[in-house]
Amino acid sequence: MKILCVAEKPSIAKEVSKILSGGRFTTRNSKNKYIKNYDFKFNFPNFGTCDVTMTSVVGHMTNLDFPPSFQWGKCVPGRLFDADIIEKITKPEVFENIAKEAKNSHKLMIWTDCDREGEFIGFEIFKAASKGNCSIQVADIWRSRFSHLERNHILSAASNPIQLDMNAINAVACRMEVDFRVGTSFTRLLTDNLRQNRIIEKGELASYGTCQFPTLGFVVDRYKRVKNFIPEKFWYISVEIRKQNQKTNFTWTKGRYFDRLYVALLYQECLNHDEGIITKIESKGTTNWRPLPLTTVELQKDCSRIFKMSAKRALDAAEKLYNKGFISYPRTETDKFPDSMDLRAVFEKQTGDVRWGPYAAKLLAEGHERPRNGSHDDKAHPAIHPVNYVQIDSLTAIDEKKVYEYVVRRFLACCSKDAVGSQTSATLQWGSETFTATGLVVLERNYLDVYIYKKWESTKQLPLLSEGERIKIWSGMMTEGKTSPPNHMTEPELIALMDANGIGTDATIAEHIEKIANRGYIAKQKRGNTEFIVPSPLGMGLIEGFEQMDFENISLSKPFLRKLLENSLQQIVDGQRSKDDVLSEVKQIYRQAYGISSQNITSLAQICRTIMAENQ
Amino acid sequence: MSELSIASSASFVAANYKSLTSAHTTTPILFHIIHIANISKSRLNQKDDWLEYNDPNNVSADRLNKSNKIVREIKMGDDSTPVASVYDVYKLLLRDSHNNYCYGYEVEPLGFLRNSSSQSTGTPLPIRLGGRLIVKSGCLIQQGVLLLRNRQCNYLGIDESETELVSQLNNGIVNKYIDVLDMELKEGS
Repeated sequence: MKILCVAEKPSIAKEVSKILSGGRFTTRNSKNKYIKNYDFKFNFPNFGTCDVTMTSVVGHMTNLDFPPSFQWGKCVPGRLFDADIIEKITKPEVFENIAKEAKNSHKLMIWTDCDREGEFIGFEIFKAASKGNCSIQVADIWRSRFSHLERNHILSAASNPIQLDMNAINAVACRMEVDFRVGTSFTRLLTDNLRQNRIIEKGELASYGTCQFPTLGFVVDRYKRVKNFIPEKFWYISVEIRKQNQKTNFTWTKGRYFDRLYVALLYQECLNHDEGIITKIESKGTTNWRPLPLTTVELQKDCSRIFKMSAKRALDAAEKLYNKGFISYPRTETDKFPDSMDLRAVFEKQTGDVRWGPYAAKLLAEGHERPRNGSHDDKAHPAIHPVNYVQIDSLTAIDEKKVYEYVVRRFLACCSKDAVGSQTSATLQWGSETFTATGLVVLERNYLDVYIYKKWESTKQLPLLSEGERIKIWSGMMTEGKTSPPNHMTEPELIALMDANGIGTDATIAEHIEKIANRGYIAKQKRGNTEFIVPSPLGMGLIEGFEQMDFENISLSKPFLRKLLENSLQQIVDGQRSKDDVLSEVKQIYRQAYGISSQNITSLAQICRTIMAENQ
Repeated sequence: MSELSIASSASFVAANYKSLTSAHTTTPILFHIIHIANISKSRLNQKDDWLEYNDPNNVSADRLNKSNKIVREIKMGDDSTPVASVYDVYKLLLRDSHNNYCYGYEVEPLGFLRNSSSQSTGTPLPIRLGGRLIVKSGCLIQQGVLLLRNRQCNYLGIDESETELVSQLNNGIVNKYIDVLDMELKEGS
């Protein structure tokens, strides 16, 4: 019996081959210089020892296209919502390699990444295989379920295959068709018009994407908020006492108000009293929680914040580390680890490191905590964690060094005790108003010893105060403050906004940001240590242009429509709705929006021109 | 005489109390609530809230259900931003039955401004404007303004016979509030 195994990337094919064959495999070249075919034997339960050929694709092999009569310039873009769609093989040599290898195979086993996209690529692989061997049926396909390249995990995935998830495949197909029809129609409309109006150059493209524009919308909204900011005065009461030669400031529990008279009235009442009373002294243990298991979005946010690394760079580095077998699959929404996971085995692999090895050894010797469970589970992959040890100095790419160290330290922190402190808080009553002061002593740093990215430090201590003590108000002031402007958008914040509003997935968020940067819709500006994202005049013009169009209850620059699509896709995955049903609903919404955009495209161009002229 | 009829005939002239450090109301007084200002939130933030009601493209009036508002801002990191008050505090513009205007401040969270879940206003305001409020005797007056506590407030709600006042105050309220906030921002800057 012969089994054809196909992975999503050449590096995965090689690593899985090494594991399944125990290192005894032969290598054949394919017509694609990156893709090799590995031959070996493996003992599958119920099937015995089988001949195996393991090969791979390099991402998608097919793409969507329109027939010649619907190419750019051949039809009005509005017709693309209902035009026929053809499937184009974009990597014929990869497709042919699978078809050829399938000819003598009895079974097809899919080793693509375990996410929706991987499921869809699995279906593409099936189509290639069935071209070479029509006896291969979709229901007979084995689909391996794995999330990292640790030996036992891979052996178990090979022995316990499941089936391809057709619902997930339909959801991706639906998303691809929506993105293709909407993207091409709007992009042609925008590009043609902006070129005609000389707003962009002849060779330039003004693309529209259902994720790109809401992403740009966040950046523009924030930019406008900063530009339109008006500082506002507020007032509050602050109190200082002196005891044991020590000044202690108390904070008003009411915070602050934007009404001077109101605060003045409350302050006036306080002034009738020279003394205040300590009404409560409370000392209690406080904890600083260890981090949650790591998701892709958190990884990207933290790498951007800590290392000033763009989301794309962070994900690229993580993918490379995964392909080399050092960390688990880095595209995951899950912030928990399975109960069955052998945490100690992961610590053991890290004990040799000079930086964090002693800490890992301590967890082994003194015991560890169960990681906290977050509330997200994509049911495909566990949270990101180290799989195999690598000495980071042996990694050549600096991003990979940083990301690996971060992933390991985060994992060790997850399995550590929370940091413990003691917080003393004093409540002071001055007239009718209450004020508080706190002092913190950090008693046990625990996870903070390994998680060097977070600070939690002791503060100034409170003087000795007792409940019921009357104390002179050394200084009680009514103070005026002013609101300060919000910051421009940073990449970690943009990622968090996209995630919270359902724009893109953990895997694609970085690509959308990169895309709008490449189109010249946004620019990155460094101020001090922080890099901010601001819109270009063209980016502002496009958003403003779409916002001024009179759509019926929808917006092309806000996240709602995309979120609707994402929710509908999830319904397809859950088997609650069909692909055709979702497709026809979403197409209809965009078709109408296209009609309005097309009627108003001249004013959009005019708005772009005006904003660009103002910002020259 | 009932409390309402006493309160209806009573008047409150703020100017009479300007020079007094402190005084108390001596009789129940009936007021209409003409305007409500949130003094615990910056005007720009309030304007954002109102704009969501103004522009359908900015709100959940989209094809998603009402709870799916845009997440506009996310607190990043551990840095503690300046304090904001714990609960919203309102300043009421009140008018008595003799057409005298005065301000009333909440000095404790007033129940009638918070228990309105049964009658949603469809705006950021906790209640519709134009409702009747009896301020009982014993309410503290300082610098001509009333400092309102629950025990001195008897909120009667909107009287059906006063539809003209109520619609005058509430019609087009979203734009009116945005205009007022804009004006105040301009004046304050």
